[in-house]
Amino acid sequence: MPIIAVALGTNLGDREGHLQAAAEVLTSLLSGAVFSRIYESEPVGYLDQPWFLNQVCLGETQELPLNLLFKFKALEKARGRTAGPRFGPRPLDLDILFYDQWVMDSSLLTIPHPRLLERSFVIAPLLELVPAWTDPRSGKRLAEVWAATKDQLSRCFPKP
Amino acid sequence: MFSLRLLAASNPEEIRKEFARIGVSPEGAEIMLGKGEFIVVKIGNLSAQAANILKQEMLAKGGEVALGKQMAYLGAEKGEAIIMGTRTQYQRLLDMLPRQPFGLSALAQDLNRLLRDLDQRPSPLTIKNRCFEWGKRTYIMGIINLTPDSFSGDGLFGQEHLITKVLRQAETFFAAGADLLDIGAESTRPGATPVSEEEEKERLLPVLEILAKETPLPISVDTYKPGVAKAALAAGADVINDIWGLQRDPEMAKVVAAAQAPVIVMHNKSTPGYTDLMAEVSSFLRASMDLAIAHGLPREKIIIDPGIGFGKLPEDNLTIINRLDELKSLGAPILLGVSRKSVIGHVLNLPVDQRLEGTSATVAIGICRGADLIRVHDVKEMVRVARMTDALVRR
Repeated sequence: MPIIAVALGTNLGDREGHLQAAAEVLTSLLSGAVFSRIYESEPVGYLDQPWFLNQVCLGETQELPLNLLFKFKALEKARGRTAGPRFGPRPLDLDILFYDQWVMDSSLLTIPHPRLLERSFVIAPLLELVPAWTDPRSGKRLAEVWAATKDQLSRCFPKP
Repeated sequence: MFSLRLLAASNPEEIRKEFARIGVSPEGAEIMLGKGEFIVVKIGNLSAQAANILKQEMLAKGGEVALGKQMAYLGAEKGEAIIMGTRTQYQRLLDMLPRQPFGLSALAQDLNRLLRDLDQRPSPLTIKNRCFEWGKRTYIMGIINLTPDSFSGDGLFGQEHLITKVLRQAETFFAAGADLLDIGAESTRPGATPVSEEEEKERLLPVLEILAKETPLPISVDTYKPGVAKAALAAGADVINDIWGLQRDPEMAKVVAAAQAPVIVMHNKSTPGYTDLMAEVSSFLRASMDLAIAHGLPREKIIIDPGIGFGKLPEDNLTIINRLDELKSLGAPILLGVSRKSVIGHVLNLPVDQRLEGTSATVAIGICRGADLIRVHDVKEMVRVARMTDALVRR
């Protein structure tokens, strides 16, 4: 069964509650879903907003990525997300990070996630789950990218 | 050590032979054949949503869909895509496409037809008691010109005993192995002066009537005028060869359908200039076929011709000959006419009376690329070229 990694992010409202709700849905949608620790991270791009909580989930699925994407969008909406600035504040954000070794560039969905290797709050939790992951597009290993760039990336810490 | 070598097994029949050679079980062969046939299809006018789903589904089956930047990132509403995969992957795609939204069920029908036509030879066609079994061998059409100004230098008009000369030429063509005669009374070479319908009939009909009685070969009449076509069919013509693909005059489709006469539809354009040459030629020919079918002509009575030298630059003509096999997806027998044409003069820098070798090259490659019928002046020579090429590629 294909393996999927999903990034969870939240910085509005009941942040723990949003992550908890997302975790429940992901556990039912994916088989053998496992979760990283929760990270606290500073905003990127649009700085005047609260810090985020981030987490990564890994699981197996028979569903195709677009079908899962639509389900994730529905969940984001259910948690109160409305249209807003691209990197702006949101109650819940679910991004597909990768789907097996797929490389898919399309207007609705790009996998692996185009900014996966630039985000500390994605790389750090993902490393807990799949330290050996290699980006099929660039051939770069996650661990090596992290070692080389973590000092330049935005701040992020495991939540105590 | 392992005696690795490449197999030139590009079509299912060749793959099947290679399977048999190493003793693959018949059941296994049926399952695997489709995985050895790789197919690339270009689609236009695809919506962005449809493209997303298509891409995902084909990726899931191990194939791929390439989208332009416009489609992938900039959210263009419609665009083009290139699908790549084995026949098996396409079949699995077709299992799910009909249930999808965004026009994908219509796409499934087109794709299904394309894949079906790809491995099917066009249905045989009987004209004047001669059966044309497309794919079995290459058929030869001999050109008889009644025009005073024919570019290929053998216009017979104005000479004494015109009818005698035509009959003699028809006999020579028959003896040399021609399968069909093509007779025209209006020169269509670039720059030729058009003739009136009356004049065309006057030149054509008396000769045609006698020729039709004398020759055992079916006769095709080269005209785009419905009045001429109608009179010619009444005078014994068997096929209408329209250089405007039934699209110049709306009456033309009615005339051929009323007579249930086989028709050759040719691609043509007033002035050269293409953004996507093969796409344009192909969609023009599809439109011609649809027109004939809509008027009640059976699909198997339509022959397509890409129209080498008509509204095309030399480069365009060379491209079409070399990519002729792309037209197989239309599911119709393909006529190729390059005999002595200016594209050969352009490449070899030779006058019209010295283009025999150049013509031979186009015939040989045309057959390799799927031509079923070849229209030529030099019947004896081109029958030999076709037989030799058939021996090489039709086995």
